[in-house]
Amino acid sequence: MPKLNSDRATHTVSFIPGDTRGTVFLGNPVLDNMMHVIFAMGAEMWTTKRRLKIVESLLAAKRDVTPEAIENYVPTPEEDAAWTAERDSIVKTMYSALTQVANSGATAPPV
Amino acid sequence: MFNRRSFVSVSSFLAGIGLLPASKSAQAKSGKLPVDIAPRGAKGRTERHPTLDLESRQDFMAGVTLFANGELGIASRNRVLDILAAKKLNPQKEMPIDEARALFDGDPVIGMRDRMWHSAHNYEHDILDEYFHANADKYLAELEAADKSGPGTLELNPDMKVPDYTRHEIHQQPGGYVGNPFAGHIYHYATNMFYRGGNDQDQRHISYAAACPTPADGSVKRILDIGTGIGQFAVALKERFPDADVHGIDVGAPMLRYGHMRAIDLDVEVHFAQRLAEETGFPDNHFDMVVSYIMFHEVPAEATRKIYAEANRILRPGGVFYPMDFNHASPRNALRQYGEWKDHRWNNERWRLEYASLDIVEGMRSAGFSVDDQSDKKGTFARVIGTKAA
Repeated sequence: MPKLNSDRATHTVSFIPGDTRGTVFLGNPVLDNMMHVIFAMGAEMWTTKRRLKIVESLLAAKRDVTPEAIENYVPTPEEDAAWTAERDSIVKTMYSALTQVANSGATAPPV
Repeated sequence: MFNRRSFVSVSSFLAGIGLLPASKSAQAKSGKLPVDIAPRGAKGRTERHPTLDLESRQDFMAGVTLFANGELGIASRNRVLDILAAKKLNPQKEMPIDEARALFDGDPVIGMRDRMWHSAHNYEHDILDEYFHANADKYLAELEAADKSGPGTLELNPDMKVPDYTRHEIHQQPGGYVGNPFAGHIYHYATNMFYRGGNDQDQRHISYAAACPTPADGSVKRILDIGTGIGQFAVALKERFPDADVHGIDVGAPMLRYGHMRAIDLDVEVHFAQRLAEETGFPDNHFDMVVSYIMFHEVPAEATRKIYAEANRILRPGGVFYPMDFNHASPRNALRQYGEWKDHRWNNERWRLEYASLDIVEGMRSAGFSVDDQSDKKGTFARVIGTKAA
């Protein structure tokens, strides 16, 4: 649990910690950790790309490009739909390789 | 900054598909909150993430989850079926979990799908947890101010003995529902990602409230939502039954505090209380309807029996008990059983298997209800309706 930056009442009670954080799904904890890093890096890339899209939208509309304008920008429904489609396309492009063992069967372990 | 266009489009959408009458489409930012920390405004019924980067990171993980449940999920399911076919096993048959694990654990595609889903889930919990803890003082001040405000009320019971079974980190949520001061905040944003945009306007809760069975005599004056969490179902029920007193109870004070604050923001009057579903403290024959949404798979069998009995006690004769949860009527097979086991073990759904093993209909009958099981084998959720004898 991160440090609580307050002295106010929390209305919490003690909890029973789960034991799922170190779960190894890929046979080697290093592989699992590496995949987690790869997904997190994807999120950072998309975060930067989304900021860039907002800057472009502000510039195209000849609006002031300030940190506040970027932070509070509300995409139009059209932008929202287009950005979601692009996100899904990027995810697919980046991660489709992860399905390929099943598709080819070539390197899957014998069943 | 609040955007009028998205505000209108969301409420129009909900009204257009019949989930809400146009005049009843509650929106966040009613102006009723005494302290309102919403630096980026709201989109309809949901406050936007407090920072653009949080929103973008979570948006990406929504895409990752979509892929894990979509393309990679299909590949993973196909892998299960391929393995069963190679062993000449009938995919429609039940299978002991040890046998299923021996077959499927360690497969690279199944493992990769689970890793992707798991990582997305943990990542989005962690970034929310870190943000709200780092900015704790202003968000706790917002909750404190809302605790004492209305519409609606909030009753907290600091001396309540919280049962151990509720103190787990359900769904791997950091601190669970009782141990993290921002459990409600994290739950709301995280489940919005889980539903991948399909519930950020409470669409699911509104549609479930619309489909909620009512007493045969049509009289609905008091409704109780047990295990209300952040109150989305209770709010939707109040919107469907504006003349009824709607109550929501839960053991998790942080969840209730967020739910109460959100109900104020939506300007919907719901009465929240930190109480046990097994021992609600309400009088006999008090409610016309007692309902719950996906609570019972988080509850052990012994507590379930007690809650059924308590629901029967507090319902008036002819009152309706509607415990909405995963479908017991769906066919059981190796794929489903393996999925339930993974949800139980790796998503920390502690009581998921106990729930799956229960005879819900018989349990409700034993508690005194006449039971109408309308469950559709293809549905995600069971539809089992209990009526207290008149």
